[in-house]
Amino acid sequence: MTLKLTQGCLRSMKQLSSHMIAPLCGLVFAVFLGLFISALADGMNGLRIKDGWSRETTAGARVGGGYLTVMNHGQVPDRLLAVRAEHAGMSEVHTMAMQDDVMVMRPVEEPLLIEPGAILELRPGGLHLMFMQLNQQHVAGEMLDIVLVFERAGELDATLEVLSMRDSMDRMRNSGDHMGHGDQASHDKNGGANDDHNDESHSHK
Amino acid sequence: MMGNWRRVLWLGILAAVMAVAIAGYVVNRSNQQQASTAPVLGSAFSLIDSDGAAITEAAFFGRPTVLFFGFTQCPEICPVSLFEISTLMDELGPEKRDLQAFFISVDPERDSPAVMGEYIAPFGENIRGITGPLSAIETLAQSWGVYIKKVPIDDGDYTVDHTASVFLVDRHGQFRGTIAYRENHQIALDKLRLLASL
Repeated sequence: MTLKLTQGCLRSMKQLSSHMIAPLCGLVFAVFLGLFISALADGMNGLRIKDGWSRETTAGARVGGGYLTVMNHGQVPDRLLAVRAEHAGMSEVHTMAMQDDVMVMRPVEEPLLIEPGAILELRPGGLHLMFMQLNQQHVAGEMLDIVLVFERAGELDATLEVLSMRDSMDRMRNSGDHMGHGDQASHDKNGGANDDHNDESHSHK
Repeated sequence: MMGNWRRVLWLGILAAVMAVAIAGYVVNRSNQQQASTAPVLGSAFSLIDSDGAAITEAAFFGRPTVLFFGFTQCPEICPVSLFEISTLMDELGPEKRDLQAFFISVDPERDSPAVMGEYIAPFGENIRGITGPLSAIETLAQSWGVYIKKVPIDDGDYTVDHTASVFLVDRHGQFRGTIAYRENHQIALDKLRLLASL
């Protein structure tokens, strides 16, 4: 097709002056190139995982938390089905909320949906990765390799940087976590419920 | 003449006695009012500390005390709260005086004294763990108005919903206030400084 187009252009060039037709041909090429790239990108997953971190654990700890951000740059929605980590006997996505000073933590009931253009944030005070039956301590400065399993994108590797307690406190303060803003209820709702993520994603459409 | 002086003397003594009686009544009354308005929290208990030694409510008297209920299989609130308490105590420096902290397990079935000891060790020697029979822990938690609920999750595992406030108790065993989870650092520091000075 590209060849035919080129021949067409060459033929036209014989009839019209070349300095007028050359920019036109360039434009057509650019449009085709753009379509080709976007078609290629559509075939690949548009998920990007970033800012993965975890808190160091003490020797006696049997559990650890993990936080990260997933951005959907693709054209299709996806769902986070599972998390796997070799350093833990069991890994899940959990939600946490403070209700009248009571800490309530649960595994998420449904896989988290990430609409195109949406950002899924797992951060302190809300959604988090929960590593249970740890067979290895989270040591500050080390990297934890994990796998996130998505419905469409499949298995994606991710790494979590283990932060010291002090650094993790700074990260919590600076990242604008769900706590400590005096409006915990609304923040927790956003961070904790799958339905709210759907709403959030729709608003990006 | 002598009779008048004697009368004055007797009246004086009578007035003094009455003044003492009235003052005593007023002081007593205000004490009672104080006692009745201050919340009465806590109960007698007999549990085990993270060193494996017996511990009773006597540990909360004589020193200003910080109490926190939690468990070791908790990924965020418990380590963050313990770290905050330990950091605040360090920051108080000499103003810390004899301030002490206790981490009371709401999951004593998994939190043995040894598990707790290992878990809290990095947070410094000012924090001790308390664990023991579940029923005794439940009674103690209830006396502090602390909610505890064991919630099953996947694969037979469970988590524990629990009140995450930090309780401040003065050296007379009197409840003085709380520090909320992720409370402003400076305010929390001021609260602890005040508690230590009482």
